[in-house]
Amino acid sequence: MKHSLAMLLIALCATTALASELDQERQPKLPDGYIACKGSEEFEKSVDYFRNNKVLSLNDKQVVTWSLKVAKGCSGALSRFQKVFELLTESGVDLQKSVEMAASFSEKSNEQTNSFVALFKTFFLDNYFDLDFMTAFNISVKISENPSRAVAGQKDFERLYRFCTDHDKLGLPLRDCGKYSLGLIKHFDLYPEGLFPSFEKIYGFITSKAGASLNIKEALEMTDEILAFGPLAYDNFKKAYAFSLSKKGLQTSIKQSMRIALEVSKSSMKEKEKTQ
Amino acid sequence: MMRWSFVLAFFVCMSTEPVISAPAEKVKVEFEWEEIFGAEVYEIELMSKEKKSLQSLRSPNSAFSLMMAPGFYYVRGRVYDSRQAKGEWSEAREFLVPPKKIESVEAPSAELSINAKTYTAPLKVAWKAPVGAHHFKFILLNSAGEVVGTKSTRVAEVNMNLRPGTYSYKIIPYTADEVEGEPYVSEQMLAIKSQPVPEVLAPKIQAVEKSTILSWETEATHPTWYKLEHQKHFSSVWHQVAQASTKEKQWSLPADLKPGKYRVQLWNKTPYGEVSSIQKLEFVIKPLEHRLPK
Repeated sequence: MKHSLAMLLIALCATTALASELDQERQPKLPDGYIACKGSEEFEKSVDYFRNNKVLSLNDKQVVTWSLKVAKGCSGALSRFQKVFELLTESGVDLQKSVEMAASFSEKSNEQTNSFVALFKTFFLDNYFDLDFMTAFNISVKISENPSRAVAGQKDFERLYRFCTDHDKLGLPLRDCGKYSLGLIKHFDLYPEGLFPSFEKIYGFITSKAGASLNIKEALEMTDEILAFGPLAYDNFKKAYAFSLSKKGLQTSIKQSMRIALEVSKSSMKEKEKTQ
Repeated sequence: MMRWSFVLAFFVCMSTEPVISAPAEKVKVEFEWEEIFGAEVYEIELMSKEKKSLQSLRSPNSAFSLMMAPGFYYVRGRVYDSRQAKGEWSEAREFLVPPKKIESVEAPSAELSINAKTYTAPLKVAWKAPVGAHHFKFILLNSAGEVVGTKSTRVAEVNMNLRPGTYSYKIIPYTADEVEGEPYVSEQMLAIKSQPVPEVLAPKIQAVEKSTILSWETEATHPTWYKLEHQKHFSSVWHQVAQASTKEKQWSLPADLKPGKYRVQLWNKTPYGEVSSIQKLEFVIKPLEHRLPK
């Protein structure tokens, strides 16, 4: 009896020692393109957070469901969730939507989350922009998708917005400018050096006498179309327009030349893979 | 001895014109019954509502004529034969002498103009109190003939404030003991044209010192109603925060409004329920920066 008890103790000690040895081993290597996640840690923290969250007051089943969802976001997921959740609930967002948005940010990176929080605070709280909630929210979501360019994105938006609202420029109503600027930001990823310089050039050209002297509405629509073809589109548009109008070229009408130039500006860039 | 029992078959007839010589509050009343064979003398006794004897009259004729104040009476009768033997009293029967009909009414014009502040039109109807009338009931009817108001009065005049609509009226005279006279019915309808309820204008929200003030303009003298609702962003549901009315033309918003979208609705309502169009104003309460995560 004494012998078998001693054997059990030895076995236990050996197992503990082995486990401790394994802990000290370096983490197994992950395949390329993957990062390590402390899923269990995030899950445990999430369960604790959701259990004690008086605003959400979830039942046990919901606690597990949301904790699993958050844990999927990898390390730091709960922290990202909390940040976005607090930001949105404090801003008066519907609880269900706040949870959904927070959960979606828990799957993104810390940089994207921090960028979203900072942008939203700027766009929504800053009296300069005075944007309505939805515009501020959507623009923050869009720009924070590429956190390395968040500052540039914010600057682009600010310059577009200022150009649109300033009385010596377009002088349009704040709400319209918010919407229009938000619409242009969809081309943001195509302009590593910023979208506004291209916008200013295109708009300036098509409203000038050398261009087609378009009115504000037409010019804003056409600028949006040309910007969709990337940073070289303006140059191609301008040249094609001049060629279409010229005697040496096509000698077409202004309207027709604009149409041709817009078509030509489409051929301003091509994805690399497709050229190979 | 022959006894004649009085058969109650008399007729009461009142003259339509007051008798000049009679006291002003009396009207001429005639009693008549079928002649009874063998009757030498006819006697009637008039009693009050409480059946106290008021007067006895004897006549060889079966018709009596006398001046009576309008009111509630009992009458009984008996006959005497040639030997002056009395018959039995008949059963006492009630009879009413109603007040005279109202003839002279100072009718208001058919179209009354409305007071824009009170949203009512003042109606004044005066009439000459007819003989025997102690008090009156004024009954106001709408275009469907439904009673929409009554007023009892001792004086021959009624003042009322009427909301827009079409009306007619009746005036019923009563004696002191509630004998109802023939009603006077207005000959024409009264029309009170509706007027638009004063609108709530230019609502605005301003920060004044530490308060947020909602103010507006209106010409209405009655209170303006306001309703404040809150909606969370991305939600379609509005939750009521407050609803009240005030004559102040401004309202200090609650200090502890949560962040989110707000909607204020403002409208004027007359005391009679007519409502102006609703003015809406939306605003957003932004969060306090220090409460947001860094």
